[in-house]
Amino acid sequence: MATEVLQGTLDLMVLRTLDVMGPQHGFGLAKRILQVSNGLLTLNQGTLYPALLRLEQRRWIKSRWGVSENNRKAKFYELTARGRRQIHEETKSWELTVALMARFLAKPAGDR
Amino acid sequence: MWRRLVDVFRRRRLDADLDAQWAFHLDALEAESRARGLRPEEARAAARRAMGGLGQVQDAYRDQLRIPLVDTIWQDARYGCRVLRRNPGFSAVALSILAIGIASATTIFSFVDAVLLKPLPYENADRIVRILERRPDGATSWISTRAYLDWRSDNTVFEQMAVQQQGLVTMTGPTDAVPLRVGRVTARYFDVFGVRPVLGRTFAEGEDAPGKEHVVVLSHALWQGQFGADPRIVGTTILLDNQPNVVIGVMPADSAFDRGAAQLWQPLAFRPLNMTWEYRWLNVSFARLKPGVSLEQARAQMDAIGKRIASENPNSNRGWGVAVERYADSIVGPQLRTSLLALTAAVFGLLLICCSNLASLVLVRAVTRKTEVAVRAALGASQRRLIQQLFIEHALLTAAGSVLGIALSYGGIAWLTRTVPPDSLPSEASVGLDARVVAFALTVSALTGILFGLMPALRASAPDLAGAMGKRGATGGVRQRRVLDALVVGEVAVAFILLCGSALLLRSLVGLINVDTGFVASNVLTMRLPVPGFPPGSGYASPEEFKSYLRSIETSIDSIPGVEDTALTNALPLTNCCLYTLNLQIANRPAVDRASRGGGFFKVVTPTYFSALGLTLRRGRFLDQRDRGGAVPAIVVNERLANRYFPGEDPVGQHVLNPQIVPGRTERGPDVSWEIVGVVANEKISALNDDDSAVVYASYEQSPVYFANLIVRAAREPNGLERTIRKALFDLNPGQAVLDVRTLDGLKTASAASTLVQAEMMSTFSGVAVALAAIGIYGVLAYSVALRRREIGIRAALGASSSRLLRAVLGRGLLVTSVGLVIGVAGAILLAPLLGSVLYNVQPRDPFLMALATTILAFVALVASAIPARRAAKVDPAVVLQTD
Repeated sequence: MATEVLQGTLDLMVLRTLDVMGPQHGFGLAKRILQVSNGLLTLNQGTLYPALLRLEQRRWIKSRWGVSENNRKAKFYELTARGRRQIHEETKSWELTVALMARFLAKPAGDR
Repeated sequence: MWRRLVDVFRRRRLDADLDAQWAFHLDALEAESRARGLRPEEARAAARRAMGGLGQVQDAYRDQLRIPLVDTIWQDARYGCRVLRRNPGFSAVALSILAIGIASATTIFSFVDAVLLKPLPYENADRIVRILERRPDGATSWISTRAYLDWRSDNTVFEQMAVQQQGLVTMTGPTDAVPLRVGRVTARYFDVFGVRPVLGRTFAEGEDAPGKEHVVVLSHALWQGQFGADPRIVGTTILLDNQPNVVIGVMPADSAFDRGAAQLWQPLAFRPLNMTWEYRWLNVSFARLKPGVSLEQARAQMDAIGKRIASENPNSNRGWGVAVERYADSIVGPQLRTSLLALTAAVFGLLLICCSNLASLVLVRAVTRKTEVAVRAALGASQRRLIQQLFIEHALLTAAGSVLGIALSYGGIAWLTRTVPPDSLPSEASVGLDARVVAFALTVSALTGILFGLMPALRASAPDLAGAMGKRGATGGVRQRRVLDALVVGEVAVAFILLCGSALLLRSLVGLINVDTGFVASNVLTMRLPVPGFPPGSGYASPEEFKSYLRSIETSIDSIPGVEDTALTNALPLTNCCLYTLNLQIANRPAVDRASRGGGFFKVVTPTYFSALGLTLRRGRFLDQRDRGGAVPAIVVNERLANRYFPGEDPVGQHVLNPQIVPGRTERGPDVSWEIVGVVANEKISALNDDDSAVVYASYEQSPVYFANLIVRAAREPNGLERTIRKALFDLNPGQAVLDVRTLDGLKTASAASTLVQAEMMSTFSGVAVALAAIGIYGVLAYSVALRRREIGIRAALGASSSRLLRAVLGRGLLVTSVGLVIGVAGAILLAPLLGSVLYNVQPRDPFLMALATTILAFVALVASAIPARRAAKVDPAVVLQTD
C-alpha cells in the first residue's frame, strides 16, 4: 500500500539521503527516496524542490551548480554541518515518537 | 530568517534555477523511461505525471520565497513614494520641518555629549582628581610650592600626584622668536592621566630635579605645525628661552593634550628659592586615587593635612584648606553646564514643536485623503493594512528627513565648533559627528517618526465609509479640531518660552557690549611680550636692566607715526592672565594676618597706561614720572576699592600695606607702605561682566615685575600698525617674541563671545519655533475654514457680513494663541531663573521682555490668522451651496 509523504518527514528523508549518498541533484534524490521506500511511497517529484529551497534557507543543506553523470548542468545539494546536527536531533525525536506509539499500540499483556 | 530575507531579493534568479532543475529532472525521467523501452511520447507523459504540475510547484516554491509582511511593506513603500511625489508641497514642508528639528537636536547633542556625557578618554578616569588650595572665603586658589610638596609627601591615598604651571616660552626659530605656551609639570603628570606619547617617551621619575629639566615633550599639533611632523624629532635639541632642550616625545593627535592650552611640556623643577608657603603660583594639581580609595577618604586625609599646614603656618595659611574634586566634575564649569542645558531644553522644545507641527500637517492632510482611504477600505484593505500604509509613508518621510537632518547637523557642528570660543570647552571634549551622535540622530528621528506618524495614522485610518463617500459632513471632525487646537496651544507656549530665552540672552549681550568698560576701546592695539626665563626674568641681571628695556620699548614705539600713546602693563584689561593678587592691609587699622587679608588685584603699569586706555580720574592724580624708585611708593586705586575700604572717606593720602612683589622670584617680600595718590573710575579687569574686582595700580619703576603687555593707542584703526610695531621690537631685541596681537575692541568681543554664541543659537531656535508656531496657527485655521466652508456659506447666505466672518476666524486664532501665551508665560516664569548664571544685568523674569515676546507672538499669530480669515470672508454662498 503506497502512501503520500507525511508532512514533515520529507525533510528528514532528504537530509538522511544526502547523508548517506553525499552530494546529489534533485533527480538523484527523488530516485533514491523512491527506491528506498520500495514502493511504499508515492512522491510527486516536483514537491521536492520547494522542500530543497526551504532546507537551504535553513542552512541545513547547500547547493552549487555542477555537471551530472550524463554531462548536463545540474544543481547539486549537499549536507552542511548544521544539517548533520539536524538529522541527529530529528532522528532522536522520531525514535522517541516511534517508541511512544509502539507502547500505545502494543496489545495489553493480559489479553493474550 | 535572514537567509529568507536575502532570497526575497534573489527571487528572479531562484525562479530561473527552479526552471533549469525542473527541465533537467524531466529529461532525466524521460530518458529513464525510454531506456525501459517506452515510446518517446509515452515516456514524456510518464515523466510529467511523476513530476506533477509545474505551476503548482512554482507557487509553493514562490511562497517559500516570500515573506508576506516584507512584500506588503515593499508595496506600501512604493505607493508612499508616489503619494509623496504627488504632493510636493506637503512633502517639502514636512521634510524641512523634520530636517530642522533633527539637525538642531543633533548639533546641540554633539556638544552635550562631548562635554557632559562621554566618559573622559582616560583609563579609570573616575580615579583622577583635581586638587587646589581653598581660601578662607571658600573660593579655590592656586597652590604654593610648599603646600603641594607637603600634600604629596604626606598623603597615602594617591597613586601619583603632579602639579602644573602654565607659562610662555620663547623658541628661537630659524628667522624669528616663536612664542609658545608651555605647561611646566612635575614628572608624574602624564602618568596621572595614564596617557602615552605616540613618539618617544614622557618624563621619567627624577627628571623634574633642578639641572635635569632640559627635556621637552611636544604636542602633536606643534610637532606638525612647527617641525613638519619630522619622524626623527625625538633626540633633537631645540632652543627654548636660549636654553638647549632635548625633545623626548610627542603626544597623540586629536587628544586632550592636543586641544589644551599647552603646546609643549617641560619638567617643573623646584629650587630652594621656590620653597615658600605664601606665593601661590602653581595653577593646578592632579592626582590619581589608589584603587579602592574613595573620594571622601581622600578628602578627609587632605583636609587633615591642610589643617596641619594651617596650624603650623598661621601667617600664610590660617583658615586655608585643600579642595579635592573629581576631575570629571571639575572641567565643566557652572556657566558651561547651564548654557548647554539651556540649549538642550531649547532644542527639545523646538523638536516638540516640529513634532506637533508635523502631526497637525498630517491630521489636516488626512481629511483631504478621507476619500482615498475610504475607497481603499471599501476595496477590502484591512484597518491594519491602512495603518501600515500610512505609517510607512511617514516612515519614508522620516528617513529622508533624518538623512537631510544629519547632513545639516554636519554643517551645524562645523559652524558651532568654529564659533564657540576655543577655551570655553574642556580640552577633553572631542566634538564631532561620531557614531554616538549619529545614533542619537537616528533615535530622535525614529521617535519623531513614531510621534507624528503613528498617532494621526491611527486616527485617519478609522474609515468612515459613508461619511467619506456619500454625503459630505457639514461640520467635520470636532474631535480632530480639538486635537489640532491643543497642538497649536502647545506650540505657541513653547515658542513663547524660547522667545523669552533668546530675548534674555540678547539683552545680556547688548548689556555686555554696551557696558561701561572704564576705557575707550577704539583704536587700541594690544599684544603680549613674553619675558624669557623661568620664573620669567631670570635672564635679567637686575630689574633695572628690564626697566630700561621697557623704557626703550615705549620710546621706540612712541616714535612710530600714527601712534598717539604707548603703555606697558603686566595684565591687559579683560584678561585673566598675569594678575597679581592683592594682600591689602589698611595702615593704622587693626592688623590682619596675610592669610586673611583682602583680595583684589595688583596691576603694574607705566604711567601712560591711564591716558593710553582713556581711564577717567575721579580724585587725586594718575601715576607719573615722579613715582620712581626712591620716591614715596605711590598707587592709584579704583573706585570700587575706594568704596569698599574707605566708605565715606577720602582715600587720597591714605596708606595701605601690601607685600612687596619680588621680581623674578616666587615669593612675597616684606610689606611695603603705599600711598594712595588717586582714584580712577572702574576698569573692567578680568571680563566684561566683572563687577567685583578691586584693583590698585603701581608703576614698574616702583614695583618692577617681569611681565609685559604692550598697549598702543593709534590715531585711527590700529591693525595697520602691527608690522611697524613688530619691526621696531625686532630692531630693539631680535629675541623678543610677540603674542596675541589684538585690538581692545577684539578683546571686548572675545569677552562677550560665549554670550554671543548662546544668544545666536537661542535666537535661531526661537525664530524657527515662532515660524513653526505661525505655520501651525495658519494650518489649523485654514483647515477649519476649508472644513466649514458649507457652514460659512450658509451663514453668509443668512446675512452674516463678511467682516463678521473675518472676525470669527481671527478671534479663534487669537483665542488659541492667548491660551498658548498664558501657558507660555507660566512656563517662562518657572524656567527663566535657570538661565540666571549666564545672564548679565538682566532679571530672568524681566516683565518688559516678556511683554515684548507676547507682542511679537500675538502679531505673528494675527498675520497667520489673517490669510484663512480673509478666505472665510470671501466665501461665496452661491458657489458653496451649489457644489454640495
